[in-house]
Amino acid sequence: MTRINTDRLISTFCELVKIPSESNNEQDFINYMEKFFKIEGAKTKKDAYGNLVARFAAKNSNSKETIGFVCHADTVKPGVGIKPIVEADRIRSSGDTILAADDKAGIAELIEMIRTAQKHPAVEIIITKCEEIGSFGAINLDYSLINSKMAMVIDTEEVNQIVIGGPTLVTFDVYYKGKPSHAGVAPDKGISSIYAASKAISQLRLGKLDEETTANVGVIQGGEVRNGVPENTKVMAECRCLNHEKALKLADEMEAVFRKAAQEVGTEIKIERNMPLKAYYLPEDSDIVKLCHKALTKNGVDAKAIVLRGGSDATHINTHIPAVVLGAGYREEHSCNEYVLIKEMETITHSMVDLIEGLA
Amino acid sequence: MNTERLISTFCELVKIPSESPNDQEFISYVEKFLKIEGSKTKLDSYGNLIVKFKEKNSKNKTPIAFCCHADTVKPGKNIKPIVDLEKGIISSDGKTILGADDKAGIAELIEMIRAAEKHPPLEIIITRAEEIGSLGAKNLDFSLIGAKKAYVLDMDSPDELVIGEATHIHMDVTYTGKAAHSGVEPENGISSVLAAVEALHEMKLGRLDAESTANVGVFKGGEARNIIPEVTRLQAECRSLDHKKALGIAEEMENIFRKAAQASGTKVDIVRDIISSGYVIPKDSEIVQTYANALKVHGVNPDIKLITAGTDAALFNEKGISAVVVGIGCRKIHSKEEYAIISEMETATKTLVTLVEGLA
Repeated sequence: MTRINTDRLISTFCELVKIPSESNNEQDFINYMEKFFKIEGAKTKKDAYGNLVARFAAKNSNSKETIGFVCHADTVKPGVGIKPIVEADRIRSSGDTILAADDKAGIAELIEMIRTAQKHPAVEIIITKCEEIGSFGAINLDYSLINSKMAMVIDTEEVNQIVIGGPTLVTFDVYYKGKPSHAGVAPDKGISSIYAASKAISQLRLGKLDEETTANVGVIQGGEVRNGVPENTKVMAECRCLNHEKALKLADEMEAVFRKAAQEVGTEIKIERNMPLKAYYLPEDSDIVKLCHKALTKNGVDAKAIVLRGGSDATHINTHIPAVVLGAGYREEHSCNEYVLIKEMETITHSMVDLIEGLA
Repeated sequence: MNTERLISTFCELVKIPSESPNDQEFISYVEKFLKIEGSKTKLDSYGNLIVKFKEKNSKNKTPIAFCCHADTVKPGKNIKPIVDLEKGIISSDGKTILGADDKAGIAELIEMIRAAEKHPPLEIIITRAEEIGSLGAKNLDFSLIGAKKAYVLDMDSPDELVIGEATHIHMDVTYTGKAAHSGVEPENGISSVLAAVEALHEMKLGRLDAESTANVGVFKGGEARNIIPEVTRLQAECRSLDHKKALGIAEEMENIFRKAAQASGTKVDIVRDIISSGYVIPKDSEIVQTYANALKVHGVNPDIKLITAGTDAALFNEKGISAVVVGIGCRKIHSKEEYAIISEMETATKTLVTLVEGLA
């Protein structure tokens, strides 16, 4: 069994996280990855959106197939000045930033995979932009550049999961407009947009509503100045459900709550509603799932096919080719407590080595 | 007095931007301007301007003070004043405020000095940063001021004669919860927005009674739509003409903020700042009656009252200088519809001239 070089994997990972790539500012990092892949022997190409496709020719293989892997380049904030701290069983951030293991652990694992495998068919590694803010890279990916007939997205937490489905996601940008007035002199002449927004929020069902449904108010920005009855308040909210119809019903319910509060308080309201993700589901006995299952089992992992409520590039890639999401080993992503488990990084890398060697 | 000169001075003043706290450039301009008029000028360490004029044709050595603030609210850059002599008003071009609050007052003081044939020693004080909490007056070097009586020019209409103001308390409230991915694991997060909403739901805001108000002017929470919002910040205030009542209201608001933190499992941090203590000047005192009489000379029936708004006068009264607030002839302040009424500016100026000539 071909063994990876764990030190090299860790060192590559630490190198990658130090290059900042907060969503919409990932050009430097993508340019760096392009050079990196070229040195590793790949032919690289960027599509019009700025996504990167690195193609490795078949090695010790007569296979005419291409197998695809996907990771995203961008990170959430705060992602500048990351100082990774390597401990015995994990790598973590220094506490004042994220770690960016989401998703650079995935990228490091793919690099180690390609360096280690003794044989493989043609391999495409696709690095997308702007995943964290709505998978815009995957939505705008130029699929004419892709030869793969299936792809593994390395972008979830645990390595014993094969994600075969995703949620419908409905987003709301809600704008309340009241009436300004000096709060000390004539508060009765004003209408508070903060009051309307708060009323709505207090009436929404939020959090984990059931195993397949969540809703959240993520951002509120209300008012300009302490002594003014606040005229404008913006609320950014979302709901998700693994069942498409149920998601739409919940979204309608949320929208009704937003509007009712506006009516009751007497503010104007404007709602921008979008559906960035649509629920999908791959059959458990499909080729791609069986392939991943076999490779993970070989490395001692009892992998379960699951459906996740998180969004990923897989939702959009599945509109072209079957795509599953595999674990990269990170935890507490999107927070300054983020870390990645070294053993899981090794496991997934070994599994992917076995997978591509098996296809050679 | 010379109306054309008054209007021209006013238009000059509003064209120099002085949005809080960027009012130093404007103060420099006024300093140079008033030096020409034959005064001694001085800036205190905070940047407030104190201008002293010797008595003119008068044996009275007792100085009297007048105060205006230099700063304006936003949007106060590129102000283009439009003088409509037919309608008798001056307005902005609709893209900005006018700045009549408080530059109409400054223009009237300048015209008063030019027009008065005699007067006691005068102290003209131009304070910084009034609109954001009377910061200039709070930090004014009162050792530079000899007057024991002061007129603050900062009300809308010339008939307004304010002899008392409310105690004014600020509260800065920060809720801290726990961030988590809202789709994947919302149950691991604690929403600071929901904690704040809970508090606002319980709170009495707006006009509480004839002498008290409370407001939450700013409510900002959360980083991204798909993250349970970790930190939420509120800017709140309360006011009451009754000092004890004001403290009671602040106490109650803070208890509600704390209760919501406890109920939600968030941390709350409250910073309370007593901006100014209320005051009431007896109606029959000399400072009130001399101005009231001067108004009557010019056909104005004085509207002597108490207000819940805050002005610099509160800080003067705190330091033992009796101060009342008088009107300058503007309307719709703190908005792009702000305008000045020329006849009222004339009345205010004539009243001031009558006042100082009467004291000479």
